[in-house]
Amino acid sequence: MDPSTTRTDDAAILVPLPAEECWRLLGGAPIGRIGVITRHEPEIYPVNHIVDRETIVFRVGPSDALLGLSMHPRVSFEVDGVDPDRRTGWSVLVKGEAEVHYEPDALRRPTTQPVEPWPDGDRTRWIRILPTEITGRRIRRTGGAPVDEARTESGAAPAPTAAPAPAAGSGPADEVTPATPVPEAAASLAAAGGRAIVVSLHGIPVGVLTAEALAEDAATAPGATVEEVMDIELVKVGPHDDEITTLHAFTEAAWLSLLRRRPGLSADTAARP
Amino acid sequence: MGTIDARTNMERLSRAECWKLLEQAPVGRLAVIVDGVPVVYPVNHMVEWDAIVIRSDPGSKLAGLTEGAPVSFEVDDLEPDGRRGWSVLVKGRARPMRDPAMVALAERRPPAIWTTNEKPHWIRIVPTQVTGRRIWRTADDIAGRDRPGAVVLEPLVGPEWAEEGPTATP
Repeated sequence: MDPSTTRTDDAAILVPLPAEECWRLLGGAPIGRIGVITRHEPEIYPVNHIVDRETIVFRVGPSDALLGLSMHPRVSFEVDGVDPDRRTGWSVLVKGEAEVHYEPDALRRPTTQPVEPWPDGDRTRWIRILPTEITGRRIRRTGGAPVDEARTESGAAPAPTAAPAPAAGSGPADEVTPATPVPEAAASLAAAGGRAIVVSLHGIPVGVLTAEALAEDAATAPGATVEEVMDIELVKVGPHDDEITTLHAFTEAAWLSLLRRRPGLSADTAARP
Repeated sequence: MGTIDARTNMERLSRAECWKLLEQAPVGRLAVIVDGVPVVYPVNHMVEWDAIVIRSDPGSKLAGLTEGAPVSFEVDDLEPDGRRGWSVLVKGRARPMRDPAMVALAERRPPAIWTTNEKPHWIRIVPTQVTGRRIWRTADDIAGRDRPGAVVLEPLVGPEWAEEGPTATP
């Protein structure tokens, strides 16, 4: 994309977005679309994704999308937000290489329980997109009333623009540790614009908090620290395990934790509140 | 209404319903191969007869929109967790509009959101395949939805749309 701003016929300006802003929007968007080549033709599939340290992670099952990713790992990933009434919007495009991780059983329930096939039991391949290029743009209308650009953003409400910019350089702006007060952790998550945040101790990840979990804890235990509302599980992670394996280990631990506290749960009801 | 798969709660949409959704969607996404990469852009579109018409600005996207180039166009409306909603995928060929009369007609439409320059090119996408899915799942039946304390990993849901290959339409 042309890096200079471009004036359009109807007084709209296309503003390129800095990379940090692109990552914030990527992390805050619940749905993205992958572009893959299958049988020499481009295809688009919507997916739920998360952003993990400037990579994009999602799952697929055996499908044309998986076939395409495997045969042709050069892919793209797009998120956007459009407000048709205000005629504004933004979009972010990532080009990158897709890695396919085959972990057929790692995400199933703990094996001590009878394992029922999940409705989505086939969807066991994890895809990670390693970006080679990220670009974004936002439409800014020059005529009429000033536009509240945040309105077009999906996901959690972003922090006010006056808030400190996220992270000069790389790495998280504020480390959330077990000692962080719950409201502060919630604020960090909101500022990052994501749906989940990693809890770390001396730089080592020790858990994952979601926005939902934090909101609940902030309401029920406003004075608590992250440590007090976290369940502590022993998670065995090898020093050379990749991120996906590590995430699996945490997921398993979360399940064990739930089953331990609710011993009556059977496997087929365990997933339901 | 199409059939609903009892296992996945996936409904395959009829062709007529796909076209209705294509007409109603305010914005779609175009995939085109540029330098070997399948890039995806948001675009505004119109449905004309049985083709999709989009406006492209000069740029890298246009470079891939040559006569007969394979393209895809997608519209969707999904809830944030991706477990309810629909998507429609059109696969087809790009046909740049050359007839000045047709271009003039297209330009009388109200200007779209994703407009970036003063010299637009109009591209017709002639479909070779139109497929649509709707997912009806309502139960939170994925493990991660129940919160084991605060230590949970956000559930990741893959493209349910992609579970089966698209069906060829005559």
